[in-house]
Amino acid sequence: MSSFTVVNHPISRIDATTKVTGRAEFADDLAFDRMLYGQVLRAKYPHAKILELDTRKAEEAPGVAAVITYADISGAQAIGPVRPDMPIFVSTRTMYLGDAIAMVVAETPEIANRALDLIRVEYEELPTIFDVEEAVSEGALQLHKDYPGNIVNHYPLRKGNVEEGFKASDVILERTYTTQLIEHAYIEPEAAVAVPGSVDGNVTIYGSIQNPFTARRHVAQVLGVSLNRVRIIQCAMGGSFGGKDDVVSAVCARAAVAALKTGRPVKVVYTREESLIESYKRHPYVMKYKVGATRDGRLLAMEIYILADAGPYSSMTPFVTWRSVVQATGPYEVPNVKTDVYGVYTNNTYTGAMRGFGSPQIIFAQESLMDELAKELGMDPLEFRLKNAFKQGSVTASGQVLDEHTVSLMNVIKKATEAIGYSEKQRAYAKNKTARGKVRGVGFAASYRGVSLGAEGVDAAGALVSVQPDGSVYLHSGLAENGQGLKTIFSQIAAEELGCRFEDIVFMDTDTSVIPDSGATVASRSTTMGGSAVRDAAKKVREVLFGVAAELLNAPHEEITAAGGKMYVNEDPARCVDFRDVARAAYGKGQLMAALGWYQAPKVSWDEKTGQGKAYFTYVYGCQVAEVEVDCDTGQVKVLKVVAAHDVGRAINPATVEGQIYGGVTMGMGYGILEEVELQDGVTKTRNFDEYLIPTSMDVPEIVPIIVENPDSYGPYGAKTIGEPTCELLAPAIANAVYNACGKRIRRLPLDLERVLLGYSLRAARGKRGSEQA
Amino acid sequence: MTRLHVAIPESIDEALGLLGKWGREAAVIAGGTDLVVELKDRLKSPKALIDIGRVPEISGIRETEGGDVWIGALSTHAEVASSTVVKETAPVLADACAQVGSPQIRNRGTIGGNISTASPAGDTIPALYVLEASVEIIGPKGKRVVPIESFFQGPKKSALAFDEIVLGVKVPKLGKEYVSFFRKLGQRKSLAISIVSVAFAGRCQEPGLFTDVRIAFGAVAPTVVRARTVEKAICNMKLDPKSAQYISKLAFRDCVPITDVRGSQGYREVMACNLLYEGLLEMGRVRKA
Repeated sequence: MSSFTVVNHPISRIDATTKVTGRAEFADDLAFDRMLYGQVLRAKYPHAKILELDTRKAEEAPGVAAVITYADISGAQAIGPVRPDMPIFVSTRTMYLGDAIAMVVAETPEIANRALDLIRVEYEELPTIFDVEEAVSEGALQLHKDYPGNIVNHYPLRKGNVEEGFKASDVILERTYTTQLIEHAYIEPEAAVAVPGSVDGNVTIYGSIQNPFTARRHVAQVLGVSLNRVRIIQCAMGGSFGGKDDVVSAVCARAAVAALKTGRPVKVVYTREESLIESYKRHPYVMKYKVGATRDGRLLAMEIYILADAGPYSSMTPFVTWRSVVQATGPYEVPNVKTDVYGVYTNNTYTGAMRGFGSPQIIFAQESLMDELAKELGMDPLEFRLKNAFKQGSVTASGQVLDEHTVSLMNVIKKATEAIGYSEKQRAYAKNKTARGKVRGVGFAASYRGVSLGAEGVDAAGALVSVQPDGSVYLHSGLAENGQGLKTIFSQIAAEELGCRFEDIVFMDTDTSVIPDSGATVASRSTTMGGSAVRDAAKKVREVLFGVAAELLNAPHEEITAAGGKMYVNEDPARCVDFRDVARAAYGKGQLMAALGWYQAPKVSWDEKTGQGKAYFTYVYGCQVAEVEVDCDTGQVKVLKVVAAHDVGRAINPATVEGQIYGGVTMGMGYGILEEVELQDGVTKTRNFDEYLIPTSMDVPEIVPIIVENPDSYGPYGAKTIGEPTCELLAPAIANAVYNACGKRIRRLPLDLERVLLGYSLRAARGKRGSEQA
Repeated sequence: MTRLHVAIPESIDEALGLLGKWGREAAVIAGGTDLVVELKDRLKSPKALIDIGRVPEISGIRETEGGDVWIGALSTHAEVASSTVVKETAPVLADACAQVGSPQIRNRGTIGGNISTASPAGDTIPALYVLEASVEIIGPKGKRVVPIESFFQGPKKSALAFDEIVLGVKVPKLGKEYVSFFRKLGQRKSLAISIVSVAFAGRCQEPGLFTDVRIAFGAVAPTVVRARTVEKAICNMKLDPKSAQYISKLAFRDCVPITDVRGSQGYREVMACNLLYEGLLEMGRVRKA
């Protein structure tokens, strides 16, 4: 039995009812008096000079209030988390098809939409670059003059001496793996409303905003005002998965500029087509791995060269690729490592944060490679991995000693593989000889993952707990609900720590004017970072209430404890007082019943030149096993069953942990067998969900979640992370299962029908969409 | 601001009158599963929408005096898929309708719409080909009946004139001695436009022996096509795993697929053969006479 009252229990999500009954308020549900609608005109060519931009006709059209362009921006013309290189509106040169040129603001969305046709843009097409290897080759076209070789960033990592490692190796394998461009496919496309404030120059923005503080910073920069002039209030989110960051900052900034220019509220809501064209995606990677091992299966050296397609803007590329360089060898002891990861500028759709953040790509490569190497050595893939897997005290590629948390890799691998009967099935299926009909296979993948931001940057978060005179509680957080269940988790932590009733807590929408900047809701850091801040705030308030309860119960302060809405004497629970009565009494005594909690991450370090250091303060371990059926006649891969074992430290809410696993496994399956944003010379061909295929409920296999708990020394109640690790493992597990089924090793995602049947894909989008196509 | 007129006629004569009035500026809408997307993408910009959803003459499924099954154009895929008479006398069509899109699309989309849209990937069409159905059309000059195979002229091109409406399809019943199947290949289990589809109907004389074989492929040519080379081959051979493999390989002779976002030409050619092979294997095992 759990020793907790609220935490560690599968409580229903507090936002579930409003969502399933349709009462949750999304940005597009909002309406304000005299509200205008913005529609964006985007580039006609992925790379072109703008010779002339004439908006006069559109401005004169009846019902049009304004046409906004770069000329209306008084502050920063471009934004970016690392490097401000993404223009809000392009002025002289388009760099990809999603670039915004102008935004028409009109009385109705239809008027705005039709007025787009009245804007005249004269282009001069420029030479383009779409291939990363071509982009880094000598003499290639240079997209940004300040970044020669089209290099966004380069992360080296050097450990030991790879030459000697390869010299001592009995077996050396060299393989290239590539991954595709994919879309987050949040169900609600980008949406925001900017409302001019009563004070000149102030603006309030409501929206589908993953990171309210990031949006605030970018909007303030674009408006050229201080941060306190911009207030962001987050609406209910129809999904984000890392996707509603930079692109939504741009949407907010455009709406804000338009609202201040017209003096009226401005709403901007994208269609799915606009979202697919403009929004950033997950980076496609080209990964060259060279690995050396002894005959008896000990890894000796790994040399890794990775090119990540950033598109034309840096966005999160420097951070995404940093996680890749830390984790590129996988959760294995490798004494000699030489890794070089490059972000590369191209004219493809830009890429940024997406659930996984630089890990799904490298895990596809390294876990495919582990199976390939095991085969080469004549070893069982499981036995081979266990021989090299991290254990307590192992040293990572960056030289970090794993000794501050429980290294549970072996445990999760064993739990997951045993649950599906991997070893027996793997041996039986390997005997498949038929060339026609349906065959089965099993495969798995394992990973370690650094929790939170690590040495990426500042890592701290805040929360505000405010107990009211009747004992009800407001909870504010600087990290935001993105659909992942944060409201519920944080409320559970607050209720556990205060000892109040769970239902007495109301979680307030994140509002940048109320709570300190807590950084972004990313990197699966909410529970660890924000949860610790909630706990800190609740503890501070609890101490005040304990003092009052001690007086009421006539007992020493240190003997008071609280749970489930009651405060009582530890040794004698019958001596108790209701939490609400304590609050009333505390209020009557004029006591402060609110507190701001703050949590700063433990120290981490990184040496940019050698790629050595303590990259993250703690890690999680996961393993997913897939059983598949491959149709040898069509190349169709059906995922029959998935077992997913994840060490989460402590499950604050086992039901939402399972929910994360179901969702992450499904996204991982889409990445593995279905999804690809197809660009033809920089032009998006898959523009809606009739052609960009994600798994439907019919495609979701049986998923068995296994929660492993090894409480961590840092997170609240030992909790670590679950959001992203669930989404990084299934694609390589499927690839390994397909190999087990039919002997075909596929080194490029996705494993769609043609690639499985023919070994390559001839798919090329031509012409029009839907049923017009022959 | 351009205006879109919407008319909701309550009889076929009224519908034809409206079509006559608006001519090529009109678009006929029933379920709207194709048209609404085209309107949104501005691939079509009609001045008037004629919503035929309330025209009584084109709804219902019934047996005719001549012993055929008549399916009104307004019948949804869901209705056709669950119709007892269709399931008993033309099961291949019920199967095909059950595999269209998703429940939402099957509840909205109509068989008349699937035909009028004239997509080579339309799922009901291969089934109608092997049933040798005919399309009933009405226009200003009256009614005419067009054999299903002559109705389609190319992707999105059909014998339907701009001032005509599909009334329904007449489907000859398959006798008890016939067996049939419909198979489609899509990237996922539902909401998937066919990469290749195939329908089969044949009279089973004795196990493995068929006469009057009819096979049609979808999404492998500008229109759905009958695979006459294969049909002939089957009638001369006993179906077993070996002959099924040989016969199915002939399928590419009747197919001229293209490369698009769903599949390449080369892959489609192979798939036409393999999809047929899987079906024929099953047919070879049928015990029925």
